Amino acid sequence: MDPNENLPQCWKDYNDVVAAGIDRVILFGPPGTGKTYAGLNMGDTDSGAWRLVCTEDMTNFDVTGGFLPGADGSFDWNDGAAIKAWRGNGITGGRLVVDEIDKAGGDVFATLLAMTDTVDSAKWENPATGRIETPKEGFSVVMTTNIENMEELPSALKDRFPCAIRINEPHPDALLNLPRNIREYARKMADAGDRRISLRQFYAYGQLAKNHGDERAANLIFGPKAEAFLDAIKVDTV
Amino acid sequence: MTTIMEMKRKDLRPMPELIRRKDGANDEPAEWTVQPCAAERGAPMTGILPRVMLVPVQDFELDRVIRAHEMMHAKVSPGNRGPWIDRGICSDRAMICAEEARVNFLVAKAGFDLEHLEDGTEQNAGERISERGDWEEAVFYTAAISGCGGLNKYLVGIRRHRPAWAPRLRRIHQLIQKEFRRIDRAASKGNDTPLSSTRTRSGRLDPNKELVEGYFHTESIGEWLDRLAEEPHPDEKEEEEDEKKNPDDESESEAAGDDKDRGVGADKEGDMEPPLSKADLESQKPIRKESAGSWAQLNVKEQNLTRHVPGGLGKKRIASNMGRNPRRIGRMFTDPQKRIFDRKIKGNGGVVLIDYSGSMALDEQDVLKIMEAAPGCTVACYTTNDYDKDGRANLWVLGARGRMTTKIPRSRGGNGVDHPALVWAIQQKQSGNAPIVWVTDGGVLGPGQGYSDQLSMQCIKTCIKSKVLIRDRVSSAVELLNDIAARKPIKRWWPLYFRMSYKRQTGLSLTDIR
Repeated sequence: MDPNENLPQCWKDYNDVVAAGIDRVILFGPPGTGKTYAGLNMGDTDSGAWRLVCTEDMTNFDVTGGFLPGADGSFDWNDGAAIKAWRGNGITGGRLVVDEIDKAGGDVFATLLAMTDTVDSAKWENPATGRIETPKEGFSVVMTTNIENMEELPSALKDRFPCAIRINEPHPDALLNLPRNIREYARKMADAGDRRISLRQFYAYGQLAKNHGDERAANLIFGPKAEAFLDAIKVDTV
Repeated sequence: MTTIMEMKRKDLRPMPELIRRKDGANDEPAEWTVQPCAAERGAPMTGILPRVMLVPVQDFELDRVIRAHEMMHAKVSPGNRGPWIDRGICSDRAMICAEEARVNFLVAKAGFDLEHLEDGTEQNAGERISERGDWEEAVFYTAAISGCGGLNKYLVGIRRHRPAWAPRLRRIHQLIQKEFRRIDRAASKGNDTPLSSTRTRSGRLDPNKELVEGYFHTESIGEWLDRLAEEPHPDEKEEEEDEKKNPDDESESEAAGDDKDRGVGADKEGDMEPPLSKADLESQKPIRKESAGSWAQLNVKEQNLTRHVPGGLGKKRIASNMGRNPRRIGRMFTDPQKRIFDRKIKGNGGVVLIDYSGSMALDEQDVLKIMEAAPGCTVACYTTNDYDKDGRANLWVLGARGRMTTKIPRSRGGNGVDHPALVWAIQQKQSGNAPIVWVTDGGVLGPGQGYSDQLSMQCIKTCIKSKVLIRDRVSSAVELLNDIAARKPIKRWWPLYFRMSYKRQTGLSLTDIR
C-alpha cells in the first residue's frame, strides 16, 4: 500500500520531495501544523537532527558554536547546531531545522546562508583547531516559517531553498492524540485565518471537555469564540 | 447584565471553516471571508465554493439564528445550483424557497429557536403579495418562511386583501413540515436519504458539477410547490365551481367563514378564493426521492437528408381573385369578390418526435410511414443506452426542410433523453401554431433507470404547456398527421403511464386537460 495514499496533499508533497533527495526545503504556513516536527522526524534523520530557533537577539554561537568556560578554568569550544548537523553521525550529514530564519539578525543570517549553501561551496574554519569543516554527504536543511508570501524572503535565501511547501493542515498522526469527534475540526481549523484554532488549543479542549463538558471547555479555551464554535458543531452534527 | 450597547459591539463571526461535507466542498482547510451585514431578509448570503459568508455578527438572538441558517446553507446546500437548474424539474424560485424551508427545518432540528427568525417585513410582504393577487409568490413565500417566527405575521398581511388564502397557505406550510418530518423519520430508520446528506449521487467529489443527495428532497418539494403555485386550468376552475355548489364541502365553508374578515382591496367575489381548492391541495403529493431520476445528455445528429418529400403538412389551396388558371369558375357567379383562381398557402409545418426505444417496438418501415405522413415537418427519433458515452448521438433528425433520409438508425433499446428530446422538438417549431406530435407509449425513463414519476411529470408539464399531441402507435400517429393536414379538429390523448403518474401526484385526471 502506498504510504502516501491517505495523507493530505501537503504532506504527500513533503514526503515525495524528501524521498526524491531534495535536501533544502522550506515549510511555510499557519503555526501549529507540525512543520518543525516534520523537519526533525520525517525523512532520513538517522544521522540526527538539530534545531535552531532564530530570534533577533541570537548570535552565531547558536549556529557555528563558541567558547564556554570549562571545568578546569580554561575555555572549551562548543559546536553550534549547524556544525553538528554538518557532521551528523560522522559518516553522513544530519538534518538542520531552522525555525523562522527571517527573524534572524544580519550577521547570523549571513552565517546561516553560508551554512546552508551547497555541499561543494560550504566551508567553515574552526577557530579553536583551525580545521576546515565541510558538510558531510547527506546533510539536509528544512526551514520553517509562518510567512505566507515567499516573495518576502531574501532572494539569496530563496535561491538556496528551491522547494517551498505550504503546510495547511496538521499531519494525521498528530491528530491521533485528540478525541475522535474533534479530529476533523482540528484539521479544518488549522488554516482558518483569524478564526484559526491551533492544535494545542484542541488538545486542551479535548482534555477539558472530558471532565467538564463541551460548553465549559469551549468557554475556557476559546473565550469569545466559544459560542461560534459550539453553534458550528451543532449545525455540523445535524 | 449585558447591555444593548455591549451586544451591538460584539463581533461573533461564525466558523464556516469547521463545516464538514461529503461532496468535496470545504474539504481543504482554508479561511472563509466572513463579512458583517444587516439582520434583514435578503442581506445575509453564503457562497460555498468561493467561501464567502455575509452574516449579522452582533450578540442578538435573531443574529444568532441567522448565523445558524447561513451555516446550515454552508453545510447542506449545493455549491453550484447550475446542474439542478439544468435538470429543469422545478422552477428556480420554487427551488430557492424549498431550500429555505429545508434549511430552516434543519436549523430547528439542530436546536435553534426559529421563532426568532423574523425581521418584521413579513406582514408587509403578505399585504403586498395579496394586494397584487400573486398566488404563485404567496405559495413560494410561505415555503420560504415555513417554520419561522414570521409566518403568522405574513398570514396576517395576506388576510388584509385575500382572507381566504390564509388557511390554504397555512396548510401548505403544515404539509411542508409534515413532509420534512416524514423524510427525517424515514432517514433515521435508514429508509430514505437524510435531509442533510451531501453525498454525491455519482460518488465523485466535485461540488461544482455533482448532485448532492439531500438536495433531491428540495427539488421534490420545489416541484410540488410549482404545482401548487400554478394557476388552475380552465376545466379545473369548472370543477371548483362545482365544488362551491356542494354545501357539504369543507373548503367552501372555510372560505365562507374567512369572507367575514375580508379586508380592504377585495374587488370581486371571485378574487377572494384561492386558486387552489382544499381538495386539490390535499391530493397533490410531493414526489418521493426514490421516484427521482435524471436524463442523459442530448446529442443531436442530422442524417443525410437525400430524398425530396413533396408537399407540406397543412399546406392547401384557397380561392383567390388573381391567377392564371380559373380552377374555380363557378365562383364567378357565387362569390361577390369573384375569386375564381387558386392560391397556395403554406402549412404551419410541424415537428414529429418519435420515441424509438425498445418498448415502442418500431421498425424502419414504421418510421418511414410516419415520415411520409408528415411532409414538410421536422421529424426526429431518439433512443439511448445506459452505457452510452457522452457525445454519442441519441437523437437523429430524419427529415427537415422538405427532405428526408432513407437511412433510419437502429434502435438502441433505451429511452434516456425523452424530456431533452421533447424540449428540442419544441424549439424546432417553425411557427407558433406548428403542431408537435410525439409518438411515444409514455414509458419515459432516464438512462439505466426505472420509470419515475418525477421524470414523467416533467414531460407531462412540458406537453401541457406546449400543447404537444401524443400518440402511441404508428397507425394512430399517421391518422393524427392526416387529420392535421386536413385541418380537422384534434382530440388530445394521453398514454396510460402519464395518466397514472399524473393521478398519483396530483390526484387529478389528465384526460380532463384539453
